[in-house]
Amino acid sequence: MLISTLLSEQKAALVVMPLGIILLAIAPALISDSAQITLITVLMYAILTLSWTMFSGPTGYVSLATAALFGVGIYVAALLRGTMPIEVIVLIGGLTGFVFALAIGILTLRLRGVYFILFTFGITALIRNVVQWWETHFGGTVGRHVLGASNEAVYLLVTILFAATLVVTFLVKHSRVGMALQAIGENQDAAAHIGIHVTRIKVLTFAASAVFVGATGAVMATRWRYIDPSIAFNPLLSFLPVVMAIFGGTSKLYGPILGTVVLVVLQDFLITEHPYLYLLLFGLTLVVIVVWLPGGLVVLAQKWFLKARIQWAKLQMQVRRVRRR
Amino acid sequence: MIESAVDIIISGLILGGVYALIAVGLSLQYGVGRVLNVSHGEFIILGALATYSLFTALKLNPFVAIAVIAPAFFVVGYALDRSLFNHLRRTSVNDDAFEGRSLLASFGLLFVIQNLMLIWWGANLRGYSYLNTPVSILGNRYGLNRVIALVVAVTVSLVFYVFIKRTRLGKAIRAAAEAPQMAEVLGVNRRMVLGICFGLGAALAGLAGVLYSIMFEIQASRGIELTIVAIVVVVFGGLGSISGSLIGGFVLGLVTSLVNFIDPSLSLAAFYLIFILVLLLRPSGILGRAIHAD
Amino acid sequence: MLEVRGVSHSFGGLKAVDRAEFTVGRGEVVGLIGPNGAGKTTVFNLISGAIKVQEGTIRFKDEDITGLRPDQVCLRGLARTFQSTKLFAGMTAFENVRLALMYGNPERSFRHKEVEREVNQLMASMGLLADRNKPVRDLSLASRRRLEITRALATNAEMLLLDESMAGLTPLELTQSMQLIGRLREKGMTILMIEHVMQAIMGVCDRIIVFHFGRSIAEGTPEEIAADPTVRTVYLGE
Repeated sequence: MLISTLLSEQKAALVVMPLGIILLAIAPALISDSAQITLITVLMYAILTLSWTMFSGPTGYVSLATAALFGVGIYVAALLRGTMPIEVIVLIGGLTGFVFALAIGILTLRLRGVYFILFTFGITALIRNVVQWWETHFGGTVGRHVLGASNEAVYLLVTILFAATLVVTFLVKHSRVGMALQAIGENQDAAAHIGIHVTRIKVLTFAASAVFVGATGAVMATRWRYIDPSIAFNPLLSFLPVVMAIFGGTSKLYGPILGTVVLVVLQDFLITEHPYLYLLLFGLTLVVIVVWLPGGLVVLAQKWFLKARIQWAKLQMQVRRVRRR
Repeated sequence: MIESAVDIIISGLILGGVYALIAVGLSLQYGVGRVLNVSHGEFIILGALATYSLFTALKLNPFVAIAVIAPAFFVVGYALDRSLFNHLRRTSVNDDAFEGRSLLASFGLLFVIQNLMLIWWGANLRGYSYLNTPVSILGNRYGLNRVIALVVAVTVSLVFYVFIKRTRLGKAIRAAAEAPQMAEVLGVNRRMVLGICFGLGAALAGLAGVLYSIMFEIQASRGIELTIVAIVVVVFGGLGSISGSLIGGFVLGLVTSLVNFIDPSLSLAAFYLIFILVLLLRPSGILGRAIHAD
Repeated sequence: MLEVRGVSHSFGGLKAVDRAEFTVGRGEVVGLIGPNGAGKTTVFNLISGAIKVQEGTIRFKDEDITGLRPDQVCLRGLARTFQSTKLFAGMTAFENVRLALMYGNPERSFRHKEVEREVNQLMASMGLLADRNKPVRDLSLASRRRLEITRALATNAEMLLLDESMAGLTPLELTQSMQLIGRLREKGMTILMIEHVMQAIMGVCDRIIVFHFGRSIAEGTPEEIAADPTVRTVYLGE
């Protein structure tokens, strides 16, 4: 149920979002190939970060399973590539992510948050372990080659997925469900006592957010072309979206996107020369933000905008005073 | 046949001793301080790598290295708690918020420590040989190093158990964990106790790392698997129960040994199967307090 | 309306509620008093579904609600407040009530204008209209208590469980609160209230249940209870 009590800020979002998506759609014609590749990476992380925020943002249930759900999508593509159109594979990837997340949710979300976090922490390593065992025993080789897709095709798919994730995250946030999620995050007991089926909403939202993660995994498999369990189930893909979301700030929709853009650009600079240093930096960023700057960039941006508005108002008053003389 | 069974049991106890030690540290940090320290495994690896360096550079006996590493790790742990986690405690609106935020902070810490290790020691396997002379126990041969490691692990675990149950500081720790307000009223300096607990947890991790380095080869990126072991043992034994972690460590050590006998590459899967069974049947663990759903 | 039969619950070795047994009739305002630790809030938790009933049954409007989830209990018309208010601190007063309205009523429209009108109406009748856009933390204690009751009412409740909603109020706020209970009763609301503020209990309740060691030890009108010797020992000989 969409509640149209949108503040002016959010109405601005309704204009900016379609504009942004249109810009993204026409971008390939305007930018270089290497810029397009960077943009693919940015969009990929943006999808992961946004979908993470959809559930873990309001509820405070920190999911560390992103890499597992992403890897599952990768393997869906690796197994099905060539047998059906890429769009169908992407959909199946999303569906598989949904099913896995549903299982994780049913198992852990009826218990305290601690169990969910701990379970998702190790699930990536577990699935990698199992897939590795399976591939070595039944697959012959540990890795797989995936029929590639052109950069343009990948870009298009990723942009569509990003648009979908953005729209769904927006809709969830401003709907009855979004408010219930926030209530669950603030006082789960009270939320249950006003008629909210807490476990069901948590499980379904978590599973829904996983659709985009699985689908994106399927797409990226066609870009990377060679995959194996350690590439597909890389714990960084659980870590980076969390840093980007927290760094950007989870209270507003633009926070995770902002955080993604800044950190992906930074990562691009550092990754070739200093692969461990940039991860060290990101880890430090996470610690500092969580402990001392919990709102992330969003809070800084809000403070800055507030100051700017005050200055603007002061200026206007001064101008009026001058005019009266 | 009997030899295989005995081998499984003894190997299980050796592993179990290490597991118990690993789990107790984590249990202490969560049980008292309510910090879900997912960087626990990184502390262990750090301890292992430090021992390795001390051994290869200074020819320092690993068992002597314990006297260096454990206190150093205690200090680092204590400092981390008093700076980071204490600040989080003061600025969190409720317990759940604190748990979530401290977990995220320790998640960041994981990557900080892991990459510091990768920068300093690199990503390759490191190892050294110490006391690898074979010793015969009940018809099977084991490295002397492993046997001594087991003895150390069991001794420390028992000492620790007695410490928690009998000494004044141990009781203060339990009071701070189970009834914080009451403990405060009784004059227990809660912040100091919390810091000590986190420090002790880190020291135990360091110690476990020393023992780990004696028995296995070390890779800087392998910390996460150790953390997973600790997590499953702690959940199995009951979140917040020290004795549960001790018992759980040995039980799961035996289970791992059995699985290793069948197919070593499935040990992580076996762990997770146990995790899932615990979540389904008895989330509070074998010795934990009953919890309400949600 | 509400029947509690032989209900028990233990925390580890401690028996908090011990084969408790009582009823509340439709339209009654019943007080539940007793020393601290007598198990009163635990009984509320058992009734509302926050804790699992280990023994016994609970019936509401002639339906067995033992073992139902809190949201299920709420949807059947039984709502509650909490000893320390559990409001959604990051939302405004209006948003708190609106959420309860939207989830506490299974069949209703969510047309924005309608919802807004209903919430405003409800808040006006509870004297909170002026505060509706304030964040929860800016409200006084009395307002927050009132808000929690409003939120419970928004779920179309037929019976309210109030847990110490009068504690910490000024004399004026207390009178207003008691008047509120009176108004609710006139509208047909059934109320079971845990209270320590004797003035409120005596002034507002039709009947009082005295709890001790997890079960009811005395029941009667306020006058009867005031005169009852066992009650005096329980409260004064402790």
